[in-house]
Amino acid sequence: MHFLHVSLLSKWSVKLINVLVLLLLSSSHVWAEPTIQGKTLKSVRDRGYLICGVGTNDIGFATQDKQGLWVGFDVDFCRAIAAAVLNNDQAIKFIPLDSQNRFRALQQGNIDVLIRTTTWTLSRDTNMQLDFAGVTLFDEQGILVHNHISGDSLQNMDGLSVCANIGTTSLDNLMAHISSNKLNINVLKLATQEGRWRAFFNRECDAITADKSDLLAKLSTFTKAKNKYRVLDEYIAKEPLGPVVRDDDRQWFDIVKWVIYAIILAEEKNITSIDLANKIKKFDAPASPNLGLDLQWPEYVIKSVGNYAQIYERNLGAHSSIKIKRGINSLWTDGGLLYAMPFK
Amino acid sequence: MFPKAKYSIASRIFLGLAILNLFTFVICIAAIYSFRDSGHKIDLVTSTLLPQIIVAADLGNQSSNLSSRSAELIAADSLLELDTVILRLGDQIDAVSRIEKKLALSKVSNDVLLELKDIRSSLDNNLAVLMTLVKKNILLRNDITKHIELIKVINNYSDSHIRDALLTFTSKSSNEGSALNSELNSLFSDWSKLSNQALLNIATTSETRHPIQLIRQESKFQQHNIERLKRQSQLLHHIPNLKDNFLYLDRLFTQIESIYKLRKDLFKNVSATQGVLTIHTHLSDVLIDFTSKLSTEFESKALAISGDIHDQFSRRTLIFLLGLALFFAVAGAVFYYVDHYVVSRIQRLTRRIQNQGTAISSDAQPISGDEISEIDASLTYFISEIEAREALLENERGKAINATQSKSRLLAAASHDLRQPLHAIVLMLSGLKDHVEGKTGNKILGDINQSVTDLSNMFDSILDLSHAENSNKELENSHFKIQTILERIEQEFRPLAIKKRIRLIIPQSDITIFAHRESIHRILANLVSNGIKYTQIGGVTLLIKKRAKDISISVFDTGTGIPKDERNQVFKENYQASKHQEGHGLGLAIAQELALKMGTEITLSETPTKSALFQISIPKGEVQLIKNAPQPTSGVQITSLKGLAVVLVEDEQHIRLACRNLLENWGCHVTMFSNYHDALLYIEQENHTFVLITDLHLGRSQNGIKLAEVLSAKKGSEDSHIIITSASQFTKESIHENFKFLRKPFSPSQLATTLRGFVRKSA
Repeated sequence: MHFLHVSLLSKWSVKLINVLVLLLLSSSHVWAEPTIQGKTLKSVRDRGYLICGVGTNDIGFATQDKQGLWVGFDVDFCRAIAAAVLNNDQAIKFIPLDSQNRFRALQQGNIDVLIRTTTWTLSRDTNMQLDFAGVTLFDEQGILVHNHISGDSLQNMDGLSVCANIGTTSLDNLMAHISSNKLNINVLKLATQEGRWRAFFNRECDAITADKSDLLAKLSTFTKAKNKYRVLDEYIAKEPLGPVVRDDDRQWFDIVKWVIYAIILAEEKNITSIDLANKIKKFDAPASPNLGLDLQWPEYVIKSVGNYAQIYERNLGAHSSIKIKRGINSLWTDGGLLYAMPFK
Repeated sequence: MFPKAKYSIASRIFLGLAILNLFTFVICIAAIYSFRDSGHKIDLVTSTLLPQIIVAADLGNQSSNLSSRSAELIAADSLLELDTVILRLGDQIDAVSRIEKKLALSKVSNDVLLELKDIRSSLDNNLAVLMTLVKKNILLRNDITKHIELIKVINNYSDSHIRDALLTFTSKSSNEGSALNSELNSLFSDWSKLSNQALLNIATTSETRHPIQLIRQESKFQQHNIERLKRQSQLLHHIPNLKDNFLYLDRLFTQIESIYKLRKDLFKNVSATQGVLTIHTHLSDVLIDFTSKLSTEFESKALAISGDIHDQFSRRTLIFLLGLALFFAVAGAVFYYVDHYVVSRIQRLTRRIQNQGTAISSDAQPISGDEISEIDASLTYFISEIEAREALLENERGKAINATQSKSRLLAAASHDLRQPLHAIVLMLSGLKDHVEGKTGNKILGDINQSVTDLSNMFDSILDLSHAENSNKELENSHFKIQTILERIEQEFRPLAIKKRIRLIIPQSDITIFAHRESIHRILANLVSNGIKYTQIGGVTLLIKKRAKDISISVFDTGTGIPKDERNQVFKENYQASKHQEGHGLGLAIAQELALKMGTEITLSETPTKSALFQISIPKGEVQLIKNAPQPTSGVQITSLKGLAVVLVEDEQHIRLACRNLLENWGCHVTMFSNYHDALLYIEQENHTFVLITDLHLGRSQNGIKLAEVLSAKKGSEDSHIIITSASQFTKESIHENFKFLRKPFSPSQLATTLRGFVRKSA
């Protein structure tokens, strides 16, 4: 009987495998339904890798290099979380998302965390069952124009057409700016980041609006960019960018939040990925069993991605091709806004 | 003489048309030039910019295809599909390189070409990498499929053999001990479970989403494999002939391990493919940007040029409208010019002709035709008018001439008739002198004498003028030596000049002239007389010049001259230079009248010293054609005394002049002397035959008889005709019988009778 059973099993093995796979795939949806503290951490650990929602081909923030390796400012924060949770910064699956579907992906549990240049606003924080775990970059909205367009402000660019992405604060801010200043400006609304850029490059719009760092990062990939485009020196709105999680898992929220603080704190304490071994005691982090992480999690984080300065300079600053100055994204001690909560 | 016009109407119209044509020509040249410029611009658009725009549009098409294909690349589900897309991408990149060549031909700057080349080669290189990756992907997948097939085959084979061997073994050993049997059974059951799990594991590898999952599975598989190998060695211990079968199975598990390796490679490869795709997407963006920039540039250039052309055309249109307006203005000016200088003048002329002709008829008759026809008709009418008037005038003139002539004849007759009694008065007055005594009586007699002399001279002048005016028939010209006239002038005026103590220069001349002898004499006498009359100091000079065609005779004096504004008046009948001077103002008028009759004219100018200079031109004569002066003919008529030469010697001026007038009236040639010595000189030199009339008493006891005796002695008493006059009681007997004696006052008839006696005697 056993043999018969075995033979049956082997005969139908392929079909059986298919069924099992189906069960496995549907399991995430099944688990997402109830609100259980620590469920995200558990699912990540069970899965073996973190699912991180990032931008599509978002230069400087989330893009793939020649070997297909994901790099970028947002990517590094994903890696930091993966390192903290799994002690493996490669155990991540990156899901490129557009501005419109990013929140749905998070809400439906398709991703564990959304780190995709997302602006922290009141309505997003309170109306969408989401939580912003902190600010990784204090940005502002920028406007990039083709050089042949004259004028230095939207005020004196009558009849200008501007490309913006649907579902972004940039679009909302622009519309508000236009109506409050009664400007004669056409807005071309595009669904995807790539489509927005394509429309701009194709001269379907004279200008494009997005986070200033985002615009500058994209420009860095063009040779002779200075001759072709320029960023207007006009303030429109603040864009504080940070990671987003679902608001049904306090533990997971805390993990993401404190990973960010750990990175900032490392800079405050001048701990880098290189001299980590000597300085690790400086963290002096107390045991926090409710976090559900290994005691050495800050060490894992800094070892894999480095401190804030390292992440910044590598992806956006002096060591990158983009070379944006840190400005307000400096430590509070340097006159910036970065301030880590105490590890007590 | 008719005036000849300097310009012709044709030339005026031609000038107008020439200006108009020149203007049109200039406008045409300007038009050709300006359109040439626009033409060049249009040429630039069509020959350079349009192809460039087309090429850019083509490039835009290709670049948007490339970028949409990159979306397809990402979306491609199977590797075969991906491969197809990549092949198409290759086609499109080839198309881009063809466009690159076209762009090079369409005169695009080198920078642009280099940039495009850069982008294109990057795309090309990236695509090549993508191709290799995709090929590797396909190979890996094929490898994996092959391995799985092999696993299936080995599994089926070994599975059945091992089962058979076990069944054989259990049936053999069922009798020896159930303990071992049940142990083997459970051992086999475990082994079988582990093997199947391993197989199940390898089947699920294709469903792994992440390398981490694969690694986890692999480690699970390896754990299972270790357990399996444990069971396997226990089984082999009991049933050694299973060794070959287990060797097969071991090979199977090696295959599974290599599948894990392949799967991991595939993950890496897919990841790299995604990376290259990202780059492709980025390069597509760059190409799109480049293309759109190029199109925008070309379009803006074309727009700028077309805007230029538009502006140029609108400016040109304005200029040409202005030009047209100017053309009309010039045409108007030309029309005005022709109208003003040709048509309206013709019209004015026509009006003038018509006005001249409207004395008779003022009705304008409409005619067919233009101004020329009008002027033609008007002129015809005008000419007929003039002819009619001329006829009328001729008629009137004839009447007037007849009336004037009859008046002149009456005047002449009256003068002639009145002269006879006047001379009688004169002669009688000379007789009366001796009978008047007392200072008062003599004074009155002197005044009467003066008045009578003036009266006599006036009659002479009137007669002369009347004679000159009335002689309608042509004067009978003849060839003669001017010397004859000069001598007479000398004789007549020398005494006057001497008396007035002025110089009189009359030259000797051998010139022959062709003229009317008496008229010439009268003219010169009048001119010299006039000169003497108005000269107080200096003298009067007569000058004869022989010129190429004629003879010029000038008479000038050293007088006060005649003011310019009075020169026209000089030849009028009643002109007198000064009211204090004697004379009747007829002398110059007569002279001019005679000159005009002869077909010449006396001109008046002035000498360098501002004195009057009269000049007259007279035709030359021929010496051969000189006829002898006509000899006086005998007859009882007064005219029978014509041509008789008379020398009159009389110290009493009134009598001398009266006597001379009388004699000249009869046609005698009179030479006068007022004193004894002049007369004696003349008589001694003169060889011609003449009648000597001399007063007996010539003052200072000079005696007329002495003159008579000198003449008589020279010519013989028979051939000398001498009349001695005297108012004294001198008796006839005391005079030579051959001498005639007339007692003053004698009557003209007494004188005439005596003279006729001489003429008959000599005839």
